[in-house]
Amino acid sequence: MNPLERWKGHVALHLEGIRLGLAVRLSDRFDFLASVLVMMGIEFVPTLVTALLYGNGLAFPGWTVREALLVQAVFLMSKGVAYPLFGGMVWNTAEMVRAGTFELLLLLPRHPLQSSVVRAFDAEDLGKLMGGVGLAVWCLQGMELPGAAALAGFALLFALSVLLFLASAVAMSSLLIVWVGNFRVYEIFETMASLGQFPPTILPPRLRALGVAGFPFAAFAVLPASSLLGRSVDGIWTAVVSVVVLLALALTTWNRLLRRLVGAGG
Amino acid sequence: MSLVPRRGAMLAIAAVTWKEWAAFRSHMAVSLFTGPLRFLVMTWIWTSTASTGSRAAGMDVVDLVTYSGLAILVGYAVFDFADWNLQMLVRTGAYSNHLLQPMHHAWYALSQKLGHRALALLVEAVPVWVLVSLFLGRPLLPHHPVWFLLSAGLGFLLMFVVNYASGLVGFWLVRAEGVRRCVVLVRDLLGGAMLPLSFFPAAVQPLLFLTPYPWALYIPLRLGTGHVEILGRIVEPAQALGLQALVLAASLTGLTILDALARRRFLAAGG
Repeated sequence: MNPLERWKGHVALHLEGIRLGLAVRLSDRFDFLASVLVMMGIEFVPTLVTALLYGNGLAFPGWTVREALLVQAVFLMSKGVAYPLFGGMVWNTAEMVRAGTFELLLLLPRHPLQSSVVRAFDAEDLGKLMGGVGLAVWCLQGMELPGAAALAGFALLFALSVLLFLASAVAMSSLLIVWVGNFRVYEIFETMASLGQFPPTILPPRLRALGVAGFPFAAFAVLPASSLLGRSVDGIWTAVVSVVVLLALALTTWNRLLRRLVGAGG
Repeated sequence: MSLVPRRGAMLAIAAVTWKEWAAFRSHMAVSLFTGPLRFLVMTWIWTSTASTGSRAAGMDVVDLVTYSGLAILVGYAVFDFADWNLQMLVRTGAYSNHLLQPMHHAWYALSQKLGHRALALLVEAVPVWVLVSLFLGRPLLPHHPVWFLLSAGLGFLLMFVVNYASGLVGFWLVRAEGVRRCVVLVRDLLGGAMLPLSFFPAAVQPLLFLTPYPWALYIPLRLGTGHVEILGRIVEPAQALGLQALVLAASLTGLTILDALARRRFLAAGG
């Protein structure tokens, strides 16, 4: 098969995954609609916290309310792209390992990680994307619109943010291959990611440095939002390197831990 | 429903639940990481946004930090997933087993919660309390400790009654996961787990107190931070507990009616 044909095959497979994912959820429309709204609502909790803080006369030092909320809007948008595509991978892995059906993925003619992504599409998380775009539009009102360079920077950093979500999802799934049925890994991740949902001025300086090197939580939203706002940020390149290293580490760990898969079940 | 089962039976169920969940203690131990980190994030938010000595929504920085620490601990004390469990039983049809037992399922579920939370006290609450106290540099202690514990106890019962009642929705909607998650979302927010309710706009606050959640969480938290303030009015600790008890009684009445209606709808289908 020539490379183009093979590429087409991969795309067709993922599109089929998306089609199936949609069809499954549309079988119960009320539950689906409620889930979309809830998945959007849950994500607005930090937004509400921020709005209420500013409403009561408090403020993050050096950030206006719209600027602070833009960080959260960008976080939501990136999550709204990443979660529908591969957030479900984490949940599926947990479920399938617990039920003893994960082995079925090993029988499929693709890499099990790819099969696991294909099955992961979940449209309910698109609610996050819609919410994020809406919030971003509100935040940018009354601000000077960013120029072409800022927009290009934003696009690149946004892609970096999605990559970081991917690395995190792969890392969580790999954990769940051996830590059977622990749905709380989501909570570990979300708590760590929450460090990147507020302007970095709230953090102690040493932790701010960790935000661009190590676990680069600033790449979730602070970096792309800063690009839109025309704020200078240090350590973009260390963040890029950290994300790439994390993704490589996550993929290696996934493949290693797969060998330790013991079918639970029942 | 009104028949109170033997205490021995309830304790036995609690003990079995303890054993069952002790096998998953590593899951509970996730809180040792997430609990202190959540506390730290809130503390950083309070200390960076509010200057020392200033007050916001009737609380100063020390109050707010204490509030956030206690919110995590009381959260562990009152948490349960009776709603999820009940919906799972209805969806799979396994609820029919409970219809054959000489104990109403609500009592059974409450006994489970007792066992589960007793284990959480050991694995989650006590270690997280130690860690939070270390970060603070002083033991995190509530004001009015006795009133605080009594109030958290009422919160424990109230949260169970409300969760069990929302689990009953499963008898009408077989796939009620979306509804359940809605409830989880409003539960934390309206209960005051994120922010003291006095931060909400004055026009919204009366609506919050019309829901049962503040009575389960916010009242013990405000008792622990000094004084209870409901809609801008300071309430004595004894009065606050009396109000909590009233809400509990009303919720219990609602649950009894809802349960009687729900049971008639059970079809014991499953899969």
